[in-house]
Amino acid sequence: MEGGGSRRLSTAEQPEARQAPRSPGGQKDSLPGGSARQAERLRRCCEEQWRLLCEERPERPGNLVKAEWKPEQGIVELKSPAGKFWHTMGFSERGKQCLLPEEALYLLECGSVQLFYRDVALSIQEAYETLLCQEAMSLSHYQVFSHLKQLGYIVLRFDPSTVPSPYERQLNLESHCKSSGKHHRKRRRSSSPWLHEKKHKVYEDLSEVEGTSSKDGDDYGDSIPMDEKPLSVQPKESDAGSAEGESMPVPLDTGQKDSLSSSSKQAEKREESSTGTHAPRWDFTTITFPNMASDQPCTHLPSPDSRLLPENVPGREVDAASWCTQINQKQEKLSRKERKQRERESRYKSSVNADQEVRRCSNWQEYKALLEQRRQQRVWKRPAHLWDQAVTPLLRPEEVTSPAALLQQISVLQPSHILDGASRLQEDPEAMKIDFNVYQADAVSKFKKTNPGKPHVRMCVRSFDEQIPSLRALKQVTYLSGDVPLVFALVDHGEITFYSLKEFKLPVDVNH
Amino acid sequence: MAAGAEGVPGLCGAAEGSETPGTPPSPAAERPRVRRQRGRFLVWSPGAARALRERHRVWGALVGTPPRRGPRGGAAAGPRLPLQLRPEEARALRESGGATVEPVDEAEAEPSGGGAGGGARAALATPLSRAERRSRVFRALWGRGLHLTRGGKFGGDFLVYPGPPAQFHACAVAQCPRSSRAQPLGALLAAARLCACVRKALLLCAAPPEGAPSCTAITWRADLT
Repeated sequence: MEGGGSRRLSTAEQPEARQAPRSPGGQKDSLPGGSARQAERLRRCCEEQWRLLCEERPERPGNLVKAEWKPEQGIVELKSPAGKFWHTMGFSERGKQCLLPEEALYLLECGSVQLFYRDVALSIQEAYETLLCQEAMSLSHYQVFSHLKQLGYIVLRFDPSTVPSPYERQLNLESHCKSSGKHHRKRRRSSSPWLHEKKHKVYEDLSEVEGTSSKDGDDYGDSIPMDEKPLSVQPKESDAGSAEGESMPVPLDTGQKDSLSSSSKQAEKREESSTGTHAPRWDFTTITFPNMASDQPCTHLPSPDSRLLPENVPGREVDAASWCTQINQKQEKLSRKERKQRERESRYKSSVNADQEVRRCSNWQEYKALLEQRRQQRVWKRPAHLWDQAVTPLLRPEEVTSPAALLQQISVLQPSHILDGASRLQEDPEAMKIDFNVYQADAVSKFKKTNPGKPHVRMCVRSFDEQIPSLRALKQVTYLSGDVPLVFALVDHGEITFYSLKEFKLPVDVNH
Repeated sequence: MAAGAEGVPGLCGAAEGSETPGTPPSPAAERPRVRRQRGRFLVWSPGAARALRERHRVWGALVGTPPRRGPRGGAAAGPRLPLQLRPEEARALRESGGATVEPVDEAEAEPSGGGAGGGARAALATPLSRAERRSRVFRALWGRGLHLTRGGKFGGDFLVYPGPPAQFHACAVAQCPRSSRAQPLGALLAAARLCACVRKALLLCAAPPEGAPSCTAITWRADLT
């Protein structure tokens, strides 16, 4: 684990030797019995510090924003218009500007707002004792919040429903959702339960792609009613119902037609149901598909059996001879690049149809039998003394192509990532909670409260006295955080240290 | 490594130049007031904070948000009130009469801490909790006139100073291990080595309810390596 910076201390509490020169009293002593002069200087310094401490916090009454604490809702409502802090803090509810308790307390300490409760202005002590009563926002949480705000970060409360799931990340959904559906995210930061809105689960629509097959065998491609822009928020039309076809995940950015249209070639007539889950109604050993390729003599197609056809589709006999003469008229002209590629390939590639044995196969079953037979012949003869024992070698020679692959196979320790298996862990109500999203300080100018984007890190606030969390708990909370790194803020009665897990790979020596 | 209590000023021999604990308890009205809310102890009055630090040698941590820098910049001010005390500091103050601890919400029960019921817990078999051990050790070391602050930076329970932390370097890192259980040697070595790097002694302290407090200092002998 690597440690982050600890809280800045006043000069009266400087930690050790490294920072001694910063002590206003000069060098610190190691043993008592130092010089009187030094002690005097130190004493005067302390006086000065105490004087500063006793000063009232500066306030500008004219610029003070007035706010009222609403205990039943657990938020602070602004009574006069917000100042510059509104850019990164606060939220709107029912037309009013509001602040979360930690934000209000921080602004009170900075001297930017004046906090009222029952028409009485709260002192900082009273505010600490009144506002920090929630489970979600205790004194420790507030101290972490305040520390990060002083450093300049933008700190918002964490809301689990706004983390995109791995599937959504895979689809790159978040960047798309930013531009649409923003109004769904308005209430995201509020802690009040009734303001919590579930994120619109757009991807559920996506998985119900209609895979309606084309009814007519001769034309294909256009009849696939798939929406090219699946992120439109309106429910998609599913005329065939969701039972139709398979659920196919659809990559947004590639054209969809290729994967489906290839399956619609070949067959002249296709079944209604495209899933393989039903037992086929036809016996394929008796139905042959005529091969109409250019080098085949078959041009005459008899009228199909009417039992094979849907109700209102008539079949007829076709003589394709005249058509065959009209296709493939134009000489194929290859570009130079294509010719070169063909030349290269011809050296080692050969068409599967050039194989006589393959041509002798009249259906898939025979072809597969041929492949199996060939595979059997190719099986490498294994030495009996190695392979016929109870304990066999780990590897066969053909399995390994490089020293790195070999090492990978024989290694006892496999590298693992914190997220391995994390998705399979059950939801645990006792699991650690993430408390804050922290955004970079330098992004303040571009920051938008309604669409903050991906945080820099997420923060878990824990007490220094607690046990180190188990691996299971760490996996769960890292998974909960999505792809944003997680930092643990350990609070030890007023002093904070930050830790995070760092990924580390043992180096592998493959050069031997 | 050598063990012994030598070389740790303030711990052996008479406590020199520091107030003994038991500063006679001041009348209740004048005592610094400590506010307790949900296990956290805060001191809000500057006078009280100063008294706690200068007279009672209890340092705590200043946790208030510093004010923003002025428009002309200027040095960043240090942190401000409130002063937050650790549980063992608050308890030691309460027991010695140095301060009064007030609960913020009346409904909060008095902290049991186990200390008040010491007589009832005559059973030695009950192992002390970590907080309880630290509390007793704090009381013992503080009672000898030493200044103690948080030791989390160096993997211990306390940092031990012979005088005010502003004026002196810490001389030792104090840990309060369970005396009933064997300590893993590796952890001990790691702690001793760390302390040697930062030029402090490692103190293993125990203050059992029945018996005198004891400290063992461990140093890594770099001169023999």
